[in-house]
Amino acid sequence: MVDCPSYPVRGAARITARLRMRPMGFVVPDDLACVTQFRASSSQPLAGGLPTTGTGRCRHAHRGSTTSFCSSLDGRSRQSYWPVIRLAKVTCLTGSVLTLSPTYTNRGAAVTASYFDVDGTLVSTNLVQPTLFYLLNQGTPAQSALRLGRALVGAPRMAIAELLDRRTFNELLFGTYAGMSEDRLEILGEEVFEKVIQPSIYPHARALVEKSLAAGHEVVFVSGALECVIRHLARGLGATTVIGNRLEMKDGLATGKLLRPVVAGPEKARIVRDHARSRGYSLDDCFAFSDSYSDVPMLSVVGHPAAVNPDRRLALMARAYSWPSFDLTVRPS
Amino acid sequence: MTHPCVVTLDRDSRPRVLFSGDRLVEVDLPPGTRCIYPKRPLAPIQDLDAAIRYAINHPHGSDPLYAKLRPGMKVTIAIDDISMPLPPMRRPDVRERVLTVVLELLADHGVDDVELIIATGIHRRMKASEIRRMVGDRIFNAYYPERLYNHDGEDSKNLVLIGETAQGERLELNRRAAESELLIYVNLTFVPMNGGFKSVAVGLCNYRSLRAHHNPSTIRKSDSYMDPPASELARDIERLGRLAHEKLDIFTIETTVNNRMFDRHLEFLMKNEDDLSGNERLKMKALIASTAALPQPARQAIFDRFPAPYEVTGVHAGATEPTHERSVQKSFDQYLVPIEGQADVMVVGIPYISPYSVHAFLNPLLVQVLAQGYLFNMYRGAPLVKKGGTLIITHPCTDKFDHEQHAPYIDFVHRFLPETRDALELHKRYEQKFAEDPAFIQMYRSGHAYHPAHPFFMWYWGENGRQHLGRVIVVGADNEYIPKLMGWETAASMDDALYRAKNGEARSLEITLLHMPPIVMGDVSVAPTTARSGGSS
Repeated sequence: MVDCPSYPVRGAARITARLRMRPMGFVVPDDLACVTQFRASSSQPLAGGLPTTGTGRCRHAHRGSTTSFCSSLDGRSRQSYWPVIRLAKVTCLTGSVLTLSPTYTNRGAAVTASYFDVDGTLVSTNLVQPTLFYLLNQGTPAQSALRLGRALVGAPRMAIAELLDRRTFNELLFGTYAGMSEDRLEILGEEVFEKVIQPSIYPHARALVEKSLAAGHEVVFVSGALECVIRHLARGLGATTVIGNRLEMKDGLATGKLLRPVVAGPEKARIVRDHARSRGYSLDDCFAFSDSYSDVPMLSVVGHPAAVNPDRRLALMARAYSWPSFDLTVRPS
Repeated sequence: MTHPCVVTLDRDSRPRVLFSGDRLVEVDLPPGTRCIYPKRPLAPIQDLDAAIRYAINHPHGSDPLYAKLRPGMKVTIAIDDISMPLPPMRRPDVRERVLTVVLELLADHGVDDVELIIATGIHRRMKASEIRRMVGDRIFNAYYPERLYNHDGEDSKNLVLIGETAQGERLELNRRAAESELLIYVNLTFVPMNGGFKSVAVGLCNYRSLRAHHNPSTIRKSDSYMDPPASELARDIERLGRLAHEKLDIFTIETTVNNRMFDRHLEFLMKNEDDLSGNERLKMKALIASTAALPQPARQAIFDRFPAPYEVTGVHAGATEPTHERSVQKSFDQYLVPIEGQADVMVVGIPYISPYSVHAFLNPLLVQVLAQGYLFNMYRGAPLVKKGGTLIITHPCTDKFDHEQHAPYIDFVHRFLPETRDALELHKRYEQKFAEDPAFIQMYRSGHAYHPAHPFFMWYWGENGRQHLGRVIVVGADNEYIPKLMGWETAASMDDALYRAKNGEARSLEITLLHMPPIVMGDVSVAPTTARSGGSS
């Protein structure tokens, strides 16, 4: 038996979940400093109606492994594990899939997922603005000036890459982060959110995310932005999972390279497909939202694509395929 | 003796001119066909402002409006949306006239906390230009957007539970309206099914509340929607409306208009084709030729350009029930034409507009709701067509949708209808999930799309027609698959359609043509032995 610490759970005050499980050659870390989730049965409810037993998984993506510590419990069928509780304490900068907040969906287990692109879809910022914030907030003004100068020199290449290939653009842009410390990235991430991203959230973005959650969807942000930044936005809007880009770290410093997979363009489609498969969702039932034509692969793999504040090419495509298309930028009357 | 609006065709009768969407077509109907024409427009009220003042000062079953007012109180005015009248009426809209008088009265009594809500229910949000047109420049400039806005049936923070009926139906209404000390509802009763308890209980509620009555079971139990006592739908809504009236102080102002849908230069469209003057015949020919030659967007632009010169025939105010009784009576006075006996075949031209397609293309689902919903239900007493009879409509049934307003309709027609046409099955399997689709809900909330539940309701709306009619035949469809999706047959011509309707029977068919628009309703009487079997099943 493993005792889990207390976690806040939306919709309930606090619970202590006691996971009764059979360890399978895996030691559950004491602090659960990883993304943990379990499906629980309804047979032995805790106070507050929460169940006690279940199966769980623990991901240590930053250590390059994903390990299931219990694949099933007492031979119970999956159908009896209801509802889903997600527990998480995020300390990992490089995890590939982060389940952010303990979330109870309204009807128990999420039945499907809504995948959201972030930049231009939910917020008016793009990848450049947070990067500029980082560059301008280095240890000394001289360091900031140096980094900014280097970035400006590389700007023409980035502009060309943006036109040709979003993935190359991302790699060039994140090259400007080389040498930044992990601590700085982490701490400034919160500041970037507060000062750059939060004021740029579109008026209807929160309502859209809320409706997805209310419909029982797992809300997943799939963004080319850095995970350490998007995570804060996801918390702010109530999203459950973040799939973002991660910087490679060496001796606590960013190398300027992105860890694979780079979240951009067609790769997003593969990531969404894999995520849905891992959660047992039918892609036909999944939703995806984006503003950009470059995300058409991601939109195309789900059964319910939607164009949000679409660019011209995406708007034409949405019209041709009768995808829902709407604008989150207008202020509610 | 038959009513002057009922004309029986003979061998010398000219072809009838019917709407086929935004085109006009001539059809030959056999001698003996009974054509029902709209009544002449009722005489309008000469001094409308005086009539409005009189109505609110001499209300039915309520204190006068001024007696309900006190300085500093919180008042909300709810207003009917753009779905009525059709097409939108010439400025000034009657709602502007009523609002002008009411707002002056409120100001005179020191009532400053006033908000105006367009009671859209789950209809699309009205655009600013449409609201301006409806309420007038002065009111628009003074109130929009902070104090004049569309109702949002998905804004859970601004909805409040009013209560639950004995039948377990929950009613949630707009918070501002529910928390006001006085709710004034400004209505336009265009057809008898509008107004009354429906105004507040439907116009200011949400999808969850609508599910109580907008469902296939209720619709199947309804006879004519246009005859409130015979409508299960009206009875269910009345229950919820009474609940609202128990909890809120509601002052209802209802208005009615005549059926002057066409201006003088198009007035001939209302007339018996045999009575047209030479000049009118020429105009008719020109109109038929030009609608046939012009591209669709041009035809739609022309029809959108000309508002209807409706005139106000009645203003009543006070408690909802006695006020609405008078409005319905006025409506019947305008529309009802006495008819003896039902027909084997009902022929009707489907026009270019419906309550849900103002400034948009009439998509196939809306053609369905016009045919089997509204036009089939244009009766009191008994349906115009016998149980198991045939409905023949003229319409191209083009597979085209307005991508802004009717986005969820596309999924309904092309995803769900191919699975099943069974309304109960659609209701059970698909409705709720689709109604919670976050993308379509967002289109409803921040765009100008109908709520994702609306296409389902539109399908249910045709349910009593579907249950009553044996078959529906479309003349002039430009494709086969849309009629097939709707469960209809197609025919190349009216002769072909009538031949099919005859189905090899030796006897000649009794055919009735409902010559619309403008609106006309049959007040159908049948011999006791052949009393109505229709509607419920």
